[in-house]
Amino acid sequence: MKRASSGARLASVTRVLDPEGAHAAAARRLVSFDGRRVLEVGAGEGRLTFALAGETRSWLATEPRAESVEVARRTMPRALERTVRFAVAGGAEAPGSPGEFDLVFFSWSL
Amino acid sequence: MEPPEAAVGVLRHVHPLLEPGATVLHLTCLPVPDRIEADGRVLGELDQAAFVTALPVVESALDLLVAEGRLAEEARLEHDVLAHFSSGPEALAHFETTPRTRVPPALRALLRERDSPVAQRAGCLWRRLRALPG
Repeated sequence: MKRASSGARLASVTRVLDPEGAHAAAARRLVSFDGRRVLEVGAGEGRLTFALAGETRSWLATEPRAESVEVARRTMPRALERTVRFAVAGGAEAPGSPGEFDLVFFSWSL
Repeated sequence: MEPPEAAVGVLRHVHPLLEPGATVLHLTCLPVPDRIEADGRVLGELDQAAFVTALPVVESALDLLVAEGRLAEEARLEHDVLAHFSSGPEALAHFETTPRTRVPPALRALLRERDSPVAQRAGCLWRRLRALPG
């Protein structure tokens, strides 16, 4: 899907991206998320974060657009509150310590 | 092909944050134009030439770290993804605000007239790589 920021969407436009769950299904075919310590670069409003983080040990979702992070924090399922953290950061400023993560997930973010 | 400096910078920043053997998962678009569909048939394709030509350049940032011995490629997976709009004019309004995307005149005319759902079909590419020490 050629990326358009949600901020660019017209308020009157209803666009439903991937209700079939094709992205998450493909990710699960490639890797097990079970027990992983994940760094996500380019989380947007958390669409894939919320779809995939449930099985992980921890998930740090970074996104440079503060307004998207605000939406993600507001809409995060309660079941993920202990697992998922959001940070406003670009990829080159993603926080973390050496060796902290065992999976990094770039979604249209390079 | 010269990889974009910003993308290489992100990868070089992130690599030390990964434990050796960590998985790197990268999702991007296939370099083909998105198709617009309705009622099981293709109405047309978006003009995304400017976007499509940029995709292999981004991919080359990953390739550079593979060449440097920091990452090892393990698998690739392609699949389609759909975005749904309730009508042609809604889809048109969205495409008009999508960067590096133009709607060809014939497709524009079809979308303007269509008051029932349409879908945008895009090709996606996943790459799974392994982080190597160093």
